[in-house]
Order: sequence, then structure tokens, then C-alpha cells
Amino acid sequence: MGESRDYDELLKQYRELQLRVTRFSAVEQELINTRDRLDHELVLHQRLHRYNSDALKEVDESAFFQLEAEAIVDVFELESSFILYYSKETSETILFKEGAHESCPTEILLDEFQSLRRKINAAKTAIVSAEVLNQFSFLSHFEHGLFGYFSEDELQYEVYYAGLTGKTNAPLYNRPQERHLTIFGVFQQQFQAMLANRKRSEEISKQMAQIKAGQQELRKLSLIATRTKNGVIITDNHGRIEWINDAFTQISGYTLQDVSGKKPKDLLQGPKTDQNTRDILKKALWNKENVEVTVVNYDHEGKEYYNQLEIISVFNEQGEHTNFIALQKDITAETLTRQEMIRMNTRFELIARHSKIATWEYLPADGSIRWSDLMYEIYGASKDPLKAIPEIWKDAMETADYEQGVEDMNRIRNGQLSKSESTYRIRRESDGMERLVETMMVAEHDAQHNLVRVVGSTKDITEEILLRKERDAASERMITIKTFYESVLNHSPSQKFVFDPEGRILFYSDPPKEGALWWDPTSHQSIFDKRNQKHSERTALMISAIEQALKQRHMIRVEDKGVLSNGEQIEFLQSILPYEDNTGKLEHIIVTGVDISELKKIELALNLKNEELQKTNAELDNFVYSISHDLRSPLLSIKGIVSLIIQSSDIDEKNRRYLEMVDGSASRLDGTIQEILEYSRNSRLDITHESFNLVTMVQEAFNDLKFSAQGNIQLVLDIQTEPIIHSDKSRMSVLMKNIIGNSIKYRRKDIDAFVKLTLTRSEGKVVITLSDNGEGIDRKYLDQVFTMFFRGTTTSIGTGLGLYICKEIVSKLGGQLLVDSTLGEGTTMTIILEE
Amino acid sequence: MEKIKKVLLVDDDDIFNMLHGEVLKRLIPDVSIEIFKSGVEVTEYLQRENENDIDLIFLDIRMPVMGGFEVLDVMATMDPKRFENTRIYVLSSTLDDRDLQRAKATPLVTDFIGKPMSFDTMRTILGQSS
Repeated sequence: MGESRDYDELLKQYRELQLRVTRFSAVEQELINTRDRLDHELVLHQRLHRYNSDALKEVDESAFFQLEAEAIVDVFELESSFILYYSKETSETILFKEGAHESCPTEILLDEFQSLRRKINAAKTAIVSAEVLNQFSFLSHFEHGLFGYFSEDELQYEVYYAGLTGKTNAPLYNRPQERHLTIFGVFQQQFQAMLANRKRSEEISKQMAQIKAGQQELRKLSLIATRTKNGVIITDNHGRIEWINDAFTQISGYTLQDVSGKKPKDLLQGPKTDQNTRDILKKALWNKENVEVTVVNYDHEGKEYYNQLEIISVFNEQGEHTNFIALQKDITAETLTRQEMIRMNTRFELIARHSKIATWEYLPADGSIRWSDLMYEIYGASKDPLKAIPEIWKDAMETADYEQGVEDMNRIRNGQLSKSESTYRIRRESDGMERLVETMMVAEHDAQHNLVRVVGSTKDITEEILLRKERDAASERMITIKTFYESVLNHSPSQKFVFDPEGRILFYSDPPKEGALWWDPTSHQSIFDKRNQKHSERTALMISAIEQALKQRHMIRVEDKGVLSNGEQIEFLQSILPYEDNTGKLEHIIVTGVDISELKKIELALNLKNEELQKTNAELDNFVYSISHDLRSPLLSIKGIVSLIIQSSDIDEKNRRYLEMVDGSASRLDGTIQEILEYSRNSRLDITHESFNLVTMVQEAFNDLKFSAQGNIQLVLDIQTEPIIHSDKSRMSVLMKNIIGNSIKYRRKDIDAFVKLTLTRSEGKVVITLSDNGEGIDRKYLDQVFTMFFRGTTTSIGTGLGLYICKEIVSKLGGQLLVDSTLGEGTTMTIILEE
Repeated sequence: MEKIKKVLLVDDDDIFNMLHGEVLKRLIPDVSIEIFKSGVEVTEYLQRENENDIDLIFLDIRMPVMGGFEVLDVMATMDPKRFENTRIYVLSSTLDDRDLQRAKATPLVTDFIGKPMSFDTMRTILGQSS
């Protein structure tokens, strides 16, 4: 048993223990250190994690980079940090800084970072010592730092970043150590990944937006293609139809079923399709070129239409030709309108030529002027290629007018005027005559208000002006005359209305008496207007008379009664004249009213007097007849008794002669009574005309008279015209009886007596001649035979009234009575009557 | 022509009645003549007697109270058969043409004769030659 051994053992054990403890302590320390390091890294990780989650949340790019820059400073407990982002695509650099010191560079250039990168030998991450930093001027005041770099070829960017601590503040900050590289590497991986994600998602969302936009575009396009009124045809690359829209069906009448797989030209082209246009289309399709033409096409039913056709060649992204798209627009209506416009324009030009309106145009683009042939004619100039139009113009124009014309043109050119009208004096080149021309110019602008051209029209108005002057002078004279007549009318006692053909008042003269008007002259209504008019009976009568006059187309007269304001009756004689011009067109209706109130009163009195007179006359007539009857009756009874006695056989010759003398006296008295009666009737009674046969009348008178005279005499007729005449029958009868009576009374008994009637007509006159071969009248008495109570012979058995009455009758009938006679040979009485 | 047997003379003037009666009797000695001094007398006679054997009537126009035309008006109301064989002559010394026209317009009247009636006229009426 040993104590020392035990001690030694114990000491040995103790040392061993101590060694173990020391070793243990070292391990423990190592463990602690490791634990601390791990704790530190954990803290760094936790910090990094926090930043990452923040960074993931951030949307904005600059905020993201700024956060990363902050993370470098915070996580690695350094003074400041830089991040430089470089886009290869745009060659753009952006710098982000955190915790930068005053001395910190405001700008770090890409090539400086790049050369640093090369210095540290392309390592992705590195701890950079002061030694290295000193080699770069912009980093020279930094003590130590961490450097990182990454790039993405696909996304085309490079990122350089650094965490740094300045020399001055170096003791206050962590000095980066190897162990930091691990976490720095993690940081870089995460940074890179996050940035890449961001960039990719950005790219994706951009693509997505593009796709979306593309889709929308496509949707819009297909909508347009479907809905447009223009026809759309899509063909494959061989030009065979794949799709058509509804509008194409509408235009052409073809459905997709009809046309699918066919070539449009086979369907649509026809005889009127222009060959030239076909060639253009063919060439463009062959060359896969876009083309636009107007072409005549035919629809399903063969009806032609004008098609404005645009063909677009479609290529895919690889540049291969895939389709043709043909856009069709039916422009038939527009084309027809345009053609109509062209026709109208042609017509207009024709009219312009016919109405001697010359036209010209000026193009400001090249300063050219074009004249129509008529312009040259008006200016009397020839189309001389050596003489420019402005020169012709200037030479012909009056100086002042030329200056005015130039000024007008300039004002049109600079937009001050859009139109000008002027009259110029020119001297015609061909004959030197002074002429007046009227010129109008109008500016034509395009949609951008640029002057495209100036068009003008020019007309020689010399004669027109002369005519107008004459007309003006004439109308002035007319006005003077009109004023004169109006004043005459206004002063005349007649009331005058002048209406236009529509029945509206044009003129009226002042009424002679207040309230005498049948129409209100201030009325604007037509007299024929039946609406809203309640006419007085008087007005209605006048209007119906006017309508009648218009219908008959000549003047009519009507009597028109009115009442004055004082209640007095007034009467007018209205003359209604439809006044027509030379062509028979109604110009005016002239109604003239003459106040005949006084006249009417006189007429009434006259009528009364006349009636009275007629009554008296008739009484007188009856009285005369009664008297003559009563005078004749005893006379005729005497004649009767005398003839009875004479007829008796028991009477001696002497008494017979006495009795015959009694009979003669009685006959003469009877003749006188008859003639006085005739005379009295002729002078008193009105002439009444009627048609009767003169020859019959003469024959009857002759027979009656011959019978009573018991004479031997013949009636000879020489009738060369119509025996019916129109005259006063009873007077003519008296006339014939008197003349024939004379012929019988004064016949010669020693020869074959005759009385001859000759009837002729000449120059509207009837000539009645009664001639006999009787005793005749002594020439010296011829101019006295028609005198009252004249008797040609002492032996005359007449009263001296017969021929006087004849003369009176003929003069009453407005004719002539002529006598020609030779004593012993006969008498000729000639009666000339107007028929 | 039938023989004239019965004649009516109507005149307010006795001289004419006598004169015409004388002329008649000289030409037809056995003629029967009835004389009336007014229209009233003759119409009363015609209405009373109702005879139809009158050959001739000479009727004056202007008579007091009732003239020749009034007589004719009354006769027109009688049986026309009575005067079928009667000739009626209107006699007057009138110069009024209206009387002549009226006479000619009356159907019953054969003719108008101006006074005085001569032998020649009477012979013509009676159909005798002179």
C-alpha cells in the first residue's frame, strides 16, 4: 500500500483531469465560439430573411434595390453600400447608395466596378482589403469591404454591389471575415434569384399584356371584319377563299358555302370588268403585293356594281406568305353620283358656253393660268404661245381695274377673301372696242385650308348694261306716267281698284265718297280667298261679277248699290276689265266704279216721263184713229150713196157728172184725212224693225190701189237681190202705197201704163226704185215736190202731202229719197236704205 | 158657190146698212137680210135663234157698247158647227192697221173690207162676175 502512489496516482489523475478540463475548456470555448458564430449567422440570416420578405413584398424596382442596399449595411454591419445595376439592353446604369459618408462618391462608373471585378479575379464574392481598395481612387478612403457581382445573359443585365467601411470609422464597424462570405454568398444568391424573378415576372407580365393586347386586337379585328359594311374576303396563299363576312354576302349575294375554295376573280369579274384593271390585280397577286383598285364586279344575279377593292397580302412571323385579305366596298352609288356630277359638270360647261360665260382657273402651286376658248374670244386675243395669259390680261385691262383685279387675286391668295365679284373695263384686242366684263372668282381650298386653286367666270356684259340702262330709263318714264295717271285717277270721280291676277289689291284711287267702297283696300287678302271671309252681299255680288268677267275674258258692267256712312243710298256702274297682256295672260283686274246715283235719279224721272209720254202717245194714236174713223164714216157713206145713185139706170148725164164730182171731192177729203193720219203717225211713233218681203208688199199695195182706181196699169218687177228686207214694215207700206198710188193716179191713159219695181243692193245698202211711164213732173218743180202741201199741177187731184210724207218717212228711217222725172215721160223714185 | 139666201148686216150706221142692203138686193133680189144696229142686238139674236143657215155676215168693228170683235168673241164660244157654212166679213172705215191685223188673225173672219163696199167688191164676194 503506498501513499505516494496514491498521490502520484492522484496527482496523475489530477493532471489528467486538469488536462481534460483544459481540453474540455478549449472544446467548450470552441463550442461557445461556434455557438456564437452560429448565433451570429442566425441573426444575420434572420435579418436577411426579414429583408428578403420585405424585398419580395416590394413591387417598385428602385425600392427593391434600395432595400437590398440597406440589407448589405444592416446584415453585415458595415458603414455603407453601393449597388450598380447595368442593363445590357439599354446600356443604362443605375446607382443605389446606403449610409454613404460625405466622402462617399456620388457616382460610380461601370468600368471602375468592372476593373475591380477583374482585379479580384472574377470571383463572385470577395472580401476586399485596404490594399486592394487603395488601388481605386473612388474606393481609396475605405478601410475594408465586401464585393459581389452577378449577371444574367438571358435577362441582359449585370449587377455590381459592395458593402464598405471608411478608414475613419473602421474601428466602429465589423471587419468582414471569411465566415461572412458564406452569408454574403447566400445574400447574393437570394438577391440574384429575387432580381431574376422580378425581371422574369416583369417580362412575363409584359408578354402577358402583349398577348392580352393581341387578343383584344384580334377580337376587335374580327368584330370589325364581321360587322363592317365593307365586304371582307380572306383567301389562302393561293388566293382560294377561306372566309367571307356577312357584308360580302350582302353586296354580292354569295354565301360562304357558294364561294369556299373558289377564286374571287372567277366569281366576280365579268364583261364590263376593265382588262387593264384585271392585269393590275393579277400582277399584284402574283407578286404578293398590296393593291387598291376600282373595278366593275357582278353579283350572284349578274347585276353589276362598282367595287373599291383593296387587297392586303399577309405574311407570318417567319416572312412566309399565308393569306390575302380582300376588302370590298360597294361604291356603285358613289360612282353613279360621281358620273352624274361629271355629266352635270359637262352640262354646266355646255350652258356656260351657250350663255357666253367664259371660265378660267389659276393654280397657285405652279402659278399656271388656264383660259377657256371663250375667254380668248371675250378678250379678242389669239392663243399665242409667246404671249402669256397674264400679259394678255394686263394689256387689255383699264389700269385702275387691272390694279383692282391684281389686288383681289392677292387677297384671295392670302386668304383674306374667298370670293370676289367685279366689273372690269377692257379694250378688246381684236378690234380695240371698249367692253365691260363681269368677273367672279372663287377660292377652292383643301381639307387643310390650303388654297388649291382659284376658279373664275367671266362674261361680256356690254350689251346687257346698255339694255339695262335703256330699260331703267324706260321704267323711269313709266313711273312718271304712272304717277300722272294715278293723280288723274285720284282726282276723277270714279272709284278704281286694280287687283293682281291672284285677286290681291295693287292700287286703288281715293273714293269719291266716304264709305262708298265695296272692298277694303287695306285688306291683304285675295278677293278670291274663300277662307275666313264673311263678305257683305254687295261684296259677294262684285266678286261673282269679277269671276264672270274673268271667265268671259272681256269687260263686263254691273250696277252696284252701296250705303254711305250717313245712310244715303249710292249707286255705281262698275266696269270690270280683265286686263290681259299681248299673249293673253291675265295681268290685272281693273274695277272702275262710276257714281251714277244722280244719273239714276234722272233716269228714273226720265222713265216716268217716258211712260207718261207713251201713254199719251197711245191715247193720241187712238184719238187720231177714232177721229179719222169718225170723219171718214159719213164721208164714205156719202161715197157709197153716190155710187149707188150712179149705178142706177134712171139718171141723166148732167146729174151723173155732178155726182161724180161729189164722189171726187169726197175721195180727196178722204185722201187728206188718210195722209194727215200717216204724217201724224210717222212723226210720233217709234221705229220698229222687222224682216218682210218687199216684193209681196209692193204687189199687195199695187193690187189694192189698182182695184180701187179701176185703172189699166201693169206692175213690172226687176228683182236682182233677196226680196226680204229689214226695216219698219208699216212705214215702208205707207211709203210704197204713196209712191205706187202716185204712179197709178198720174198714169197716162193713152199708152200701156206700167210701174216698175227694181230692187238691188250695194255696199250694204238696199236700193228700191219705182219708175213709171206716167205724166211726169215739170223739172222746175222737182226740187219742190217734197215740200208740204206742194202740188205740181193745177189739175192735181192730190193733197200736197203724199211726197212730203214719203220724204219724212225715208228720213226717219235714215235713208235717202231721190226723184227724177221728165214731163210727159215718167217719174223715177229711188229709195236708198241702210240695212 | 151655193146660192146666198140669208145675210146679216151689223152696223150702227143706218146709211151703211141701207147701202149694203141695196147693193145686195140688186145683185140677189130674193135674199133675206137681217139688220142689226149694234153688237148687243146681233149676239142676242144669235143666242136666241140658234139657227145655222146664215150664209153671210157683214160686221162693223166700231160700234157703241159692243164692237165687232166682241161679237166675234161671243160667237167663238158658240157651237162652231153653226158657222161652218157662214162667211163673215169685217167692215170698217178704220185706218188703224191693228184692226186689220186683228181681223185677219181671227179664225171666224173670212176677210176685211174697207167701207164703203162697192158693187165690184160685193160681186167678188158673191162669186158673180161684173
